[in-house]
Amino acid sequence: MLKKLVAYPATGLFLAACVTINIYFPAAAAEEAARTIVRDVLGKEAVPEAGKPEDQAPKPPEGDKGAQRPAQSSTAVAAVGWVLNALVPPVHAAQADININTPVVAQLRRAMESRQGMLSGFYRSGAIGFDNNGLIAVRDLAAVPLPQRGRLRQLVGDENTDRNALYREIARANGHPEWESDIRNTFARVWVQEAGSGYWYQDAAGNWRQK
Amino acid sequence: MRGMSLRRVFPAFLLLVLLPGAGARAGVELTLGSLAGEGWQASGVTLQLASDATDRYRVAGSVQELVTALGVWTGVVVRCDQLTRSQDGYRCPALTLTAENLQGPQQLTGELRFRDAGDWSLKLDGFRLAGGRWRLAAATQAPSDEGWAATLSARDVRVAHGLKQFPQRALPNWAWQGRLDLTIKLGGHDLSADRATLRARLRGGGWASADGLQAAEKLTATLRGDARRRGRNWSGTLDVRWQDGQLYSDPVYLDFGKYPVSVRSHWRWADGPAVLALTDLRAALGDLLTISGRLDVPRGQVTGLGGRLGIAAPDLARVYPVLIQPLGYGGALGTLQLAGGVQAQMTLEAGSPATVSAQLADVHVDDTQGRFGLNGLNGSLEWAAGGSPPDSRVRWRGGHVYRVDFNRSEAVLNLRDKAVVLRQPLVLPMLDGRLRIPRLSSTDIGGTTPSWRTSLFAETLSLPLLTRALGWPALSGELSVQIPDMHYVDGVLALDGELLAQVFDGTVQVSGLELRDPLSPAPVLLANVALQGLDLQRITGVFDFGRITGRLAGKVAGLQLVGWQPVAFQAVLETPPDDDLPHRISQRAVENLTALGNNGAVALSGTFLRVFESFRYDRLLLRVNLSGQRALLDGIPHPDGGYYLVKGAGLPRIDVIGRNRDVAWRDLVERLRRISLKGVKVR
Repeated sequence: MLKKLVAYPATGLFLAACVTINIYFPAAAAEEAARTIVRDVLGKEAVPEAGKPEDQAPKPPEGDKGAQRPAQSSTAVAAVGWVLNALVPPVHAAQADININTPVVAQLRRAMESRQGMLSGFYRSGAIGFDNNGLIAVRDLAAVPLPQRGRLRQLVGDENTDRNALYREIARANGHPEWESDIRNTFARVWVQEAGSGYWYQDAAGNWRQK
Repeated sequence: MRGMSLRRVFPAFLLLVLLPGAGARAGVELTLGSLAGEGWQASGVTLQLASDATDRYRVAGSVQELVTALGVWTGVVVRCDQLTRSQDGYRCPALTLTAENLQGPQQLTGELRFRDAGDWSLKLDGFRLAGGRWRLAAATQAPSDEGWAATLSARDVRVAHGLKQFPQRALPNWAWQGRLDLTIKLGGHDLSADRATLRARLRGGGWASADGLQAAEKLTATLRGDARRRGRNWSGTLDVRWQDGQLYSDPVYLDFGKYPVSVRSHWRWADGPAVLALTDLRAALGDLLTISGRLDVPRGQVTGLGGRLGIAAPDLARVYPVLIQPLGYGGALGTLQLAGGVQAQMTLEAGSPATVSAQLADVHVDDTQGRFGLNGLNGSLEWAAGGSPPDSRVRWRGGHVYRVDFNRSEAVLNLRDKAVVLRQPLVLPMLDGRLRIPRLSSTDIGGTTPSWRTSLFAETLSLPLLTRALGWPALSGELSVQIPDMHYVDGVLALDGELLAQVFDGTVQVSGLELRDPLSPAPVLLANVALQGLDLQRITGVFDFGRITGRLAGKVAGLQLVGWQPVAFQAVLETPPDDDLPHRISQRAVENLTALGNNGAVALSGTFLRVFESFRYDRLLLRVNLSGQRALLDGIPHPDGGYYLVKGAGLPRIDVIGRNRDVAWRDLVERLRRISLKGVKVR
């Protein structure tokens, strides 16, 4: 009897120790962080209705991937796992969060905010728009007076340099450099959602559309 | 008579007119059907001749459809109602031609005089082509061996309409603008021309590619040229001037009002497989740039351009923002200030530069972000796309890397394609010492995957001068550099070797240096730092932290800076166990360490301890583990759970004990900021 009393908890501990924890990309938190940055950068003029993403803009993927989920290591232990889950209070992961408070992010946000004033006219005229990769792209250079074309291309290049650095830094600052493409995709959606009416953006197929 | 050539028909018609009295008493009508010649074809051709008096004729010809290089003409009618014959030959003072073509209805008027093949004249006016009005005047010259001369002039020809006539030759999807006035004078013998002049003036000219990368607006240009034929070869002169308007050729923008373009050249065109040669070419872009030399264009292949050009840019300060900076946007080339002049000779082969030889005249280069600069740059740069270019030699009076100056020196380089190789060790006199660069080689410079590799050595660089240059508190000692291999590949700058500073009577060794994405807004620096035998008294003397005596050793492992801000490291700073120096710490140092560890100053001066200027201590230990925004502090374990930053000794004994281990990095930096550090700005 004593053996059993010791053996069951030990087995339980052993099995519990075998559970693998997968860290999923915290999509909801990333979107909230992206929206904070995007609204700051675009400023008031660009946001059509604060807090209401545009209907035609791409939707975030279904489901909240923010939680940390135990993976079932095999079918054989599924039943045991179910029993353990029933017996042992589930271990909740801390609320997934995305940290955007780093000096580099702050520096990049400042640079992008100060550049926005120079870009906003080009957004409105349709000369540039948001591409589907979280960057901006020249859409219609012919709409730009000749003396400003070189300057615009420089601005677009600088903005994209900063955006690439921003996505990389947010992923790095959160300890997951491999999240860079998820961060980028999140931003790509949010830039479009927060863009002002009349702004142009690329859909998933690369076609230009106007909000 | 289908397919009959004009050569057969025309004499028959002339016979009717020229035979005295023939046709004078009766009308004649010829239906010729189709006629064809080289480059043209006519169908439904009829000729009519009638006479109402002796030596006065009415002549008319019509063509249902005429296909020529100038398009398809229909309903062509040529009429002369007053053809007269006299001793001076035939004269038609009122010749008319009507037709319909793509330009709409054509109605030409003119006059004709014909005595024989050596004495005739023709004038035609009113031809509408490309929106312009064209006029032709042709006549034989006296004496007769001068042949004939013709003047074709046009006004208000619309460039866009004109290019529509040759869609296969115009660039697709480009829009064109502008109106052209032109006068072409031709002269020749028999049916071939042997001399010509051209005068053309473009107003409001422009073009725009669909992607907007090539465009011009409001151009005013003049073209003057002449040509003369010898045998089957032509030669002449050309003079082109762009005086107003603007051009954008990605990424360069030119305002011709500010920088007018002029191109003058002799030219020679040889028949057969030979080339169009522009000899004695002289071109200028305002007073920014002059180009002279020779260009050879293989017939029909502009891309096969060859030749030799001399280029002079006497004032780089003015050339840079117009021509060089746009090419360097986004890179180091885009943030420079240039001065001085340059002269270069360039050879072109198959449309690409083959060699460039440039002579620098007192050139100054300064990065506006303060990263580097060179002044008094002279010498020659020799570049070649292939083969074995001669070595380049450049010397300079001085320069700087960030705020560290270096003195006069020179470099011997070899420049081939996108590769640069240092041919002799480069020695940079700096900081009272010499930085030696035995080797340097780079590949794909200006390309998408640039890389370079070098080595750096220095033994006696002055730390006082270095720290003064960097605006740091003056440190005494020397810096030595032993980096046998430093390389930049795939955006990562890595060093094999170490930086060794002899400072504060000890050494600071930096190893494992790696800089990722150095040109991005957030470069990442990785390094390990080891401290050994530093004299704390000298350190605290410099930084005014409060005096501490003893030695300091330690390390900063896994140092990671992002955007030059620390984001991770594991630091240990301590007095080594075998320290042979006395261990004393001043009141002020105690207060500052307390402030650092606990975010609150303790004023010892308010206690009885104020009578003691300093205290003995046993050991000093500070561990800081930084990860992101959190710093974990630790020291010598204390029995009740805290940690000693300073473990005291003797009486009166003072221990500095930290209680708070988990500190926001920002707070820790703020605590440092609050500590009064003389001459140091804590960032």
